Amino acid sequence: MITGQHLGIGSTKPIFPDDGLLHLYSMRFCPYAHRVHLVLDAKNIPHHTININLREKPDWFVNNVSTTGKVPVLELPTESGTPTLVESLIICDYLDEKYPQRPLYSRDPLRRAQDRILIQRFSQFIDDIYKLLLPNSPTELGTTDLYAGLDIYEKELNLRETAYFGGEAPGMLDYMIWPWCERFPALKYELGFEIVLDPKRFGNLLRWRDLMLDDTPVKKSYLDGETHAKYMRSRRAGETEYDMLYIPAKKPRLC
Amino acid sequence: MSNGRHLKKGSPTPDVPEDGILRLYSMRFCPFAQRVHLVLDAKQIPYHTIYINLTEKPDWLYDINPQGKVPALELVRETGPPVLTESLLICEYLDEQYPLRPLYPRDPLKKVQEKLLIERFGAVLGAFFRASDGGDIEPFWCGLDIYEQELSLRGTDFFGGEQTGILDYMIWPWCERLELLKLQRGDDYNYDELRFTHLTKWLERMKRDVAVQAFYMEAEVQAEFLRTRSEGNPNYDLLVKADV
Repeated sequence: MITGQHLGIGSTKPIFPDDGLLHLYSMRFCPYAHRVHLVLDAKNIPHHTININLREKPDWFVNNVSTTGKVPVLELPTESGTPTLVESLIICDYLDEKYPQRPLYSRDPLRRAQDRILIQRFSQFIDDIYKLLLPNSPTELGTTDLYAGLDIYEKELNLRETAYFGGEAPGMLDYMIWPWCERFPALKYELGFEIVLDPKRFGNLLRWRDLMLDDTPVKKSYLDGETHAKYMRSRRAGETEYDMLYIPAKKPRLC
Repeated sequence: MSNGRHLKKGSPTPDVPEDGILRLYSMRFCPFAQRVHLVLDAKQIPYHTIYINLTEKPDWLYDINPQGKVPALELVRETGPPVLTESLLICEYLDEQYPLRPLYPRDPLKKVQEKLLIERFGAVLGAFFRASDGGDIEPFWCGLDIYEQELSLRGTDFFGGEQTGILDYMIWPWCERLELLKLQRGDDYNYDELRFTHLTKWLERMKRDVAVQAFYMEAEVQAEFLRTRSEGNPNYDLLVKADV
């Protein structure tokens, strides 16, 4: 279901079965939607996923589902009025509070605040990376310390002395930053040269990455660097291939 | 304490007692810092305020707060001590750590709906800054329409219900500055009481709120500070009474 067809202009709003399951409006390659998939899977929350063509958004999506026109959107069919939630971090926070199994945040308000600050800080790091990746910047890459923003995460893992930021299992911070860490290898294809993390500087982060690659919720939505890069290339070329991975169900044979 | 000097580069570390009380690094004219003052005062959490000159930050600030950000809350009783930044995250921490006079609803759905409205206000405060800078004022009014509608829907004195809640305080700093906008724009200022019937009454109620009053600043003083800032020499200590 995670690789369903991306619905675009002219499509009709899907009719969901009356099964009380959450509805997640997503896009297969969106890192923000990816965050929500990770939390839903980590907490084993059943849900239906609908993928949206973001370049040709259906009217029903823009008018009735998403106040921002963006994904991810989480629709709550069992609540009065069928409210919709937007903003990946807000959605994930809600899920952790509403569904207490496998808590992803610490019970301690201080640790929760510190994790949220680190999550927010990572968003700033991503913004800086995006700026460097703009078409006119390749020469600056050689002089800028691309990795300075990652030092604090290396240091934090060191301080916590645990395999994951969340402790013995991935927590909210692990999952909220993972989508970009997963896409890091794709940059090799985008830039033409490899970005390598120095094991002397980022030993903990590299070990963390390997552990995350083995994590069940991560594996469920994982795409390799080449696939992410193929999507990014198609987008840069102005012909985004949302349905790159979609395999239409075989039509039933009529006798 | 509400109108202390702003400490700058070269000043010694602040003369704050070692009494286990929270320390808030702030700036008297900063709306983001104001959010934290409002929550601390509403929940009656004791704290010391250390005002910072943001143009020439003291070196010692970076020792405890490497990014030098304001507002920042130093949790002196915890090991470290840790320093929290980001106004919304500080306020959320305070509400979780100090359960008396809760500002966020307890119900996860109601809580997330408050967070969404707070998040949405980000665009509105952006429109406020642009209007304050001489840009088009209509986008700011359009932004406020959402909150007028919400308050009308809720049918209560405050967004938080019969009492102020987190949403009331998180948006207040920019609503307080409506008078400032009026001063800045003169005849151009077209606040419509008929468009904002609920917000207008809410504004008056908020001005009577104890936490709001503790940090309230007249528009003329705000305007004077901004004027000195646009001239390249911000006068942080406008409210500091001269020693007799």
